[in-house]
Amino acid sequence: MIHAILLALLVAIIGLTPTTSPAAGKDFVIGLSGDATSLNPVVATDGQSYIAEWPLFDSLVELDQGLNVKPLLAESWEVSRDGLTYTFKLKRGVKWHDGKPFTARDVAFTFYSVLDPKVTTPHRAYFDALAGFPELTAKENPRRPEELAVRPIEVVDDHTVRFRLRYPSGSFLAVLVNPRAGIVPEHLLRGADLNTAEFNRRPIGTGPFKLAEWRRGERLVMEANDQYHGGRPALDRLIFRIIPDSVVLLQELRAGGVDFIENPPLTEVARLKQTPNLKVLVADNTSYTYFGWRQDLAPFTDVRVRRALYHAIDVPTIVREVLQGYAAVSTGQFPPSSWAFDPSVKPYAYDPARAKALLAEAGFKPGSDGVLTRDGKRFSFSVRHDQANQSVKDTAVIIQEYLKRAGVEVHLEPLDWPTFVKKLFASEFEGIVVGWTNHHDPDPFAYTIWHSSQWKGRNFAHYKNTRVDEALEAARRTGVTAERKKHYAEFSKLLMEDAPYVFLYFQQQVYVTRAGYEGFVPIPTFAGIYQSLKSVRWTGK
Amino acid sequence: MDSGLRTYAVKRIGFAALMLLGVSVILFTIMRLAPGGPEAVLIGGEFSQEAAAQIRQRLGLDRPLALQYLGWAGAALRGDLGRSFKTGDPVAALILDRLGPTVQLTAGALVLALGVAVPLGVLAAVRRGTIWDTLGSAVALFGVSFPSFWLGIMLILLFSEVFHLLPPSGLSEYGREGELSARLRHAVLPTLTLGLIQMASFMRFTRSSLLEVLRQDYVRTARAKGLGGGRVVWRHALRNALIPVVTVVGLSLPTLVGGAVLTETVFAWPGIGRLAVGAVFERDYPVIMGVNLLVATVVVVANLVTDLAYCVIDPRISYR
Repeated sequence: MIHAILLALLVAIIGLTPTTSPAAGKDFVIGLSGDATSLNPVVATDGQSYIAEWPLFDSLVELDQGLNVKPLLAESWEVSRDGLTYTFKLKRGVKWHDGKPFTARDVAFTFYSVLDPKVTTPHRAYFDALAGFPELTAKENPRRPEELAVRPIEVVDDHTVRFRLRYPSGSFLAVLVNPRAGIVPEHLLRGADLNTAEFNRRPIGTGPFKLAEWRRGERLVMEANDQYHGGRPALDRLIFRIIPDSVVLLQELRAGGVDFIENPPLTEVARLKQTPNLKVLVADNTSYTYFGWRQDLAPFTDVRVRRALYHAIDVPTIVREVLQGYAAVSTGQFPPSSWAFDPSVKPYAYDPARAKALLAEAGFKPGSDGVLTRDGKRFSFSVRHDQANQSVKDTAVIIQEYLKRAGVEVHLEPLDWPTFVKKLFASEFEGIVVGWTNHHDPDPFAYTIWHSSQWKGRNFAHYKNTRVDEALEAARRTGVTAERKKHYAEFSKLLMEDAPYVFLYFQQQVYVTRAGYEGFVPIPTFAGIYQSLKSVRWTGK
Repeated sequence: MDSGLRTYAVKRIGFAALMLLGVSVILFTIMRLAPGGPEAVLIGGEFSQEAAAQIRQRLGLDRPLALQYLGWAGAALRGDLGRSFKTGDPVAALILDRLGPTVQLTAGALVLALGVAVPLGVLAAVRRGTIWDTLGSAVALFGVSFPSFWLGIMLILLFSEVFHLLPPSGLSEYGREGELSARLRHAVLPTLTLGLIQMASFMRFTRSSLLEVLRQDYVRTARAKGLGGGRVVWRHALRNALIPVVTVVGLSLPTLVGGAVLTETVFAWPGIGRLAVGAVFERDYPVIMGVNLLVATVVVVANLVTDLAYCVIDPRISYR
């Protein structure tokens, strides 16, 4: 009875009616699992911030679906014959969200800020080719641009800007795209500390949407920019809602509280595809997940052992079972969508017998407990991984099982992300399973992960092969794509021969949206689909 | 107030301040003993040692731990809780911003829990051994058995996905924050989730406490006087029976806050609990310190007030 009274009261107060979605077609509600950190593209570097600052800031150029660059704030550009000078003609009549005109000075200011060692940004390394890079970014007594004999970035006039390089670089145009290279306004940021500026919370950009509200941990609201140089977006508002629980996120989508979510649990995708008012979108990605180990620790120093580990693991089965097929088997650093991908490089096939033979050849004998031993030492090691990433977690468990069958003992050590990353970069691990960000251009990550000069950086697994170093350097210092392709093919072959990791898979990005929204362009790079929010429209069908 | 009580109060307040100091030292140490650091989160996938070192320096994490604590404590005494590592917002402002939703949620849950638990407890005690008693116990068992994250998701499944009656998460809809009905609709499921969990222990306490009181002489006397059963229970017995229940309600405060942490995460409820969870995962030290200090202060002050209130209310208790 008490329940009945309470329920009646509740109904009376609230007036229970079925929930309805907000104004369909006008407000586009995107569900995110976490909040952004900073909305300043110069210092923002985490995934959520990338997604949130993208609609607010335009870059000089943007990517198309084939990962080629096309004009955005830059109308056109010319590259000098020696490949050392890039001159950009900027679009006229572009305005910042506060109404001030956008000029070449903003471009120079943005990239000088990226180079400024006082500014905390990992993007700096992508501009290694710029003239004066070593002097401008030196830890001790960095030079100021005015002090250099040659200006790396020259403001020719309001609508022309020139970049000078110290070596021809094939990746230079590619690093000028969002979300890593959005242009910020000089008139609001000159003299400010970019790491902590109030601007990072209340940004002004040139992008298709303007920030209207940011309630920390709750939502971000952006409104269409009526003055947008590419034409006003069709959507009136973007509302990013922060919903940490993935199950609740999915229920919000079904209930109509959000219109778009990313990375639903993969086991749910088949069911979502069957849901009549929902649409599943799939985009390739440049990031891959791998099973790696410290290259300089025995027995991983023995190439037979490394190849045996590769032969012991059935990667296609992992892709099918863990990723539900939403992944491509990886054969190295480059995704199949990249021009640098070499289809002739093949992974070591799943062949348990071959794995055992190779391990025997390397001197391992079965011990009494089934684990292989060599010189009295059992082949047993720990594998660390991020505990919050479900597909990585499942992959690690399956790898453990495959290796057990090969006589290798693996202890899994799931760690929370901040701990894991710290141990990774301190090279405090034996084995790891990790998915890693990658750039759409081959150079920035191939070089920093595999070049032997980077042991203190991203080459934390301590890989070293002089021929690989040479190939990477040669590829870095040419602007000719055909030549770069040749060097990267050589690099990919050498890498697979060395088997430094078991390259596992390139996981696809899965998005679910309400049927009736059209205009998404699934650009095959991290969060690439968010670039197309400006072209998304409601058709009602 | 007599002088004995005044001395006692001063002593207790001094002790409470010392307690908070101790709590802050322990918190700071434990937090920093946890592996990992904020730089990994702040940089994201494009981590580099150089950027990490730069961030540690900027945030002052490269200084000796004791100096860091003294710096923090000195500022905290002046009312400055620092700025969030993640967003750069002042911690005090972040907490203040999140206080409202948490107070709403926990107060709502408490009212709901008491409103259901006390009548149910009375019913179970008066009709001991009948179907009502069993039913009450079943409800209590249900409440304590299910973790809030599971219960929350089940309620969402039922009320949002199956019946389409209530929104699954959030504080309100964008543009409708001012509307009471929208806010209430969003509040139903989280309040129910948090309330159900509290309900169980309140109900059991009401029942057992009332059973004990009902056996006492004065109740028998009241009955012997010829008073009606309802009057005896509600007017005479229940009032006394509720004293231990009130104590339990006071003691349940930390549990309630703990429950709010999970409930707020499930329902994307922008309260203190979610702020704390996010801060822990992101190693946002100033926010962790701020939130925990707030909770510690609430608990310490609540205990202080309870202790002082005892001697004001109950003349048999005296302090020297």
